[in-house]
Amino acid sequence: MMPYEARFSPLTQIVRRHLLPEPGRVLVQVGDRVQPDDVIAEAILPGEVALFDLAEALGVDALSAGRALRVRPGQEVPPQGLLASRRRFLWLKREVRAPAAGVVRGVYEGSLLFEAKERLLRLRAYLPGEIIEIYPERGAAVRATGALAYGAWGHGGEGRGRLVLAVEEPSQPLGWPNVRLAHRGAILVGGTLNDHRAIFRAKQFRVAGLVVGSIHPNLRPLCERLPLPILVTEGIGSAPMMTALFECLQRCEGRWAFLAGRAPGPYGHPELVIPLSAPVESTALTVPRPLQEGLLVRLTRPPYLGLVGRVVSLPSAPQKTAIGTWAKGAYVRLSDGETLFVPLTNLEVIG
Amino acid sequence: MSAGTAIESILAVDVGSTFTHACLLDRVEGVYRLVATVEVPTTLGGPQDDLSLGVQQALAELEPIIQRRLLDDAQEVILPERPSGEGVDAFLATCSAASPLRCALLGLTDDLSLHSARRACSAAHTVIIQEVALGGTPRSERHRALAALRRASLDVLLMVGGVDSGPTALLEGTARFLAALYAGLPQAKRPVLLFAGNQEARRSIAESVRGVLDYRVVENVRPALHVENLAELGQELALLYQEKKLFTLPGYERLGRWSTAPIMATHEALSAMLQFVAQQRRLPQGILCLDVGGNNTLLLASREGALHRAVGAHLGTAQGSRRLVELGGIADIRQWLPIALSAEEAYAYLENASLRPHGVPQTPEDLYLTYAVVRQAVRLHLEALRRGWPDEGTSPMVFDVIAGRGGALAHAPQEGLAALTLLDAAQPVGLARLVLDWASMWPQLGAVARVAPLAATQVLERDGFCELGVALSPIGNVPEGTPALEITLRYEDGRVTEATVPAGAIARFPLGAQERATLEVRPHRDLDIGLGRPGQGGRTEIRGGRLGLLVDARGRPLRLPEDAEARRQKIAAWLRSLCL
Repeated sequence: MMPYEARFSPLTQIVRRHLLPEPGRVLVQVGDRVQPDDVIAEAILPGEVALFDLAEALGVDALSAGRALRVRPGQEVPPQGLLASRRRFLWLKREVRAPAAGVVRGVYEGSLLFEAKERLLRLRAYLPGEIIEIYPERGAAVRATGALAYGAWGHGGEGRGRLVLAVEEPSQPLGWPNVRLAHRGAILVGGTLNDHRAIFRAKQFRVAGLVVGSIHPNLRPLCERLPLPILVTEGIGSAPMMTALFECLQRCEGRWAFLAGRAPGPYGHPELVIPLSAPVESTALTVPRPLQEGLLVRLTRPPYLGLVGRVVSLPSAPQKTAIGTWAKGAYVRLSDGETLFVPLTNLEVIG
Repeated sequence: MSAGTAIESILAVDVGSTFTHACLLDRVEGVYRLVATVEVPTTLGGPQDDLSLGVQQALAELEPIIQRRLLDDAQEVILPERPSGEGVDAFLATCSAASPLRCALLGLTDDLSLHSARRACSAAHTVIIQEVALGGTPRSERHRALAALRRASLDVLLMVGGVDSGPTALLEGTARFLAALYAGLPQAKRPVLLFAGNQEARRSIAESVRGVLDYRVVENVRPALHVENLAELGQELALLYQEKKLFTLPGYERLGRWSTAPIMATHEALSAMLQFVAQQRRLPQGILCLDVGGNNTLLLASREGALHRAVGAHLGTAQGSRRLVELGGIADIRQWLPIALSAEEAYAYLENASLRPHGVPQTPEDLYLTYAVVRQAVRLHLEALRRGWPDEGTSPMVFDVIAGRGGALAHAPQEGLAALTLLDAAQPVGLARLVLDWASMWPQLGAVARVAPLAATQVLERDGFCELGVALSPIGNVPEGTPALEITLRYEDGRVTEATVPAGAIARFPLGAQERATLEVRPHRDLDIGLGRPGQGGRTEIRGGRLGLLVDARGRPLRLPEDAEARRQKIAAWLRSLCL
């Protein structure tokens, strides 16, 4: 049977591997304690390319732009260094200057290709924890303990802040009045999200990130345009946040939380991590494991999206589903006592 | 290899972007047969980011079914088969799990060279990120477009343009620009420059980009104004897909170590299998294969000895449904639903399917939406396939066989639903046999054919097809309710069925897969049953299938009612008439 990775765990070991996009220098050692802002590795990345239309900027035709050039291809130029100039009259001079230090890559038909100097990329630890593995020239793995929830969808990079619940129920929508100026720098939790004004307000008030159970389908494109980190735990639509997760977030309110909206690192899951001070020995790494009777599972496909139940039996043979297809699956007892047959591919293990 | 030399048992796996399929072929009473098949989620992009782990899991699921060990204690495939019966003699793999090649097209003119490049790309596993028409674009705009290429994380810069012996200055200037543009990037981040243009420019371009870009040359796609030559470019793109995408997948190397022969790209293996079927079954009108997966749609047509292919990267029923909505809109998908579902609900269903691509529908809404997506994915991509035909798609959709594959079609809860989806999506005309790759093993058989052709042939013949039946579909449209086709079906046992099928309806006549009957058809004077003249009737012998003979009198092109409720009722009625 396929192993399942728990999508939510109230207390677990979290190991995150952070790798540079290019070979670089690793600045930590195994056993080092790190804080989220600590730089663990750095690399030099190529600079951005800028294109200058000399012909247009100097008011000459493309063929004569070469005469106005004050640099050679391959030449390094300091910030504000003169790239090209043309004096039409004594008091009228047109110039093109480098926006930053860089190198001239070439001139083609009146356009100058300029590449800014390399930049230093600093890779930070992201989580408070301990370095447990080094990848020479590429990065390191950080181990932390805490609560972990993977999202069904996320966007907007990383955000961190104190966890604040803006709603009282896991099904309560995060309306715009729920987002207040006092939430600046916080990771704000709502049940569902169906009001675009709440998103704009969160951005305006510089909320560090949003965590909701589900999001209205029309709002996903909006979120993808904004740099606001967001994590959706259940899916698209109006499903409430899983109760067990909501209760865990309630218990952790006020603690620091780390939200990775866009796929962080190799696992590709958007995630929320709430570091908790527990001895490493008392926690276990969440590893994929086979589905077993008694395990708590989350249902992931409509109409049961977001419901939680316990596996009561795992028939070995495929069973007929409600719509007539045959699938391997599990009988799951929901919290209201109802028992359903659910295809294995529509289940996620919790904790 | 229990006999010492001959391959007896074969494991064949296909690693797709959503699911991994494994099947075991073995000799049963002297004949190669499919013994068992399993499907597990592909293990890429998740916590187990290694495709070989998914293959191991598939084999672990096979073991209890076949009562035979396939993996040793180190979780390696046992090769060759041991005297105890553990392991297999050969292991073959196909793979389509990689993302498509990200291409930019640089051509002289939009209507000639870029058009050809687009066609070549549509037949390969590529996605076109940007196009630059060098010739017709103002200088500054062209330069801006070229400079923007560096940010696009491209795999291939495909440069085309100019007939042989035409002017070369613009191509050469562009090559110099590209060399400067990419000089500052690390080698691994630079795309391949693939040149398929005026051969006069080859050498000077090579000099311009030497030491900066990996430069490859293929035959000019437009050596003369009215000559198009896409074959070599297609082969090179296929090669690049292997080099740049497949080889870099986590676990691919391990899969390669297990494999008896080099791993094939799934679409290459499927193409080989279809050509084999077309030749072996002597299909004069050829075979059309609609392969709609979770993330990609692949359409293949083998006719008159030639193979035409259109790859729809990121068009599918799960992850690919998002792009489908972007391209065609949610309304185009909803038009195929037999039930009422708001645009918002439909959108939410599709979005959730794309977030959890391994999931399967659990409600009628979800189910019908999946098949609506299949239809729309095929409809959107069929034009790209037809443009590759010698007549550029002007000829009707006449095929001997319409073959469906992919998770949705293979796992249809009712065969009638799969049949209706094939008919709606392909809209074939004349007589066409409808079949399904029920075991999701056709690509694997294409790979098996290279090392054990007899095994591939025997398994294909006996276990490869789910024969849905034969569809008869006339070209033309007559008013709904008008008697469209008069049918006489004479069974081998002497029974005779006579019926008149009205326009706008689908009728089903039982005829088993092993049964034969003589079909006599008299169409309405405005309908052509594929004999080249409206009103002309005919008689032929047919073999049935699980559904029998399907008479599709809805006309071609298929016109759905404008009114939403009327359309839903119509589709529901068609579905009822096909479902057992």
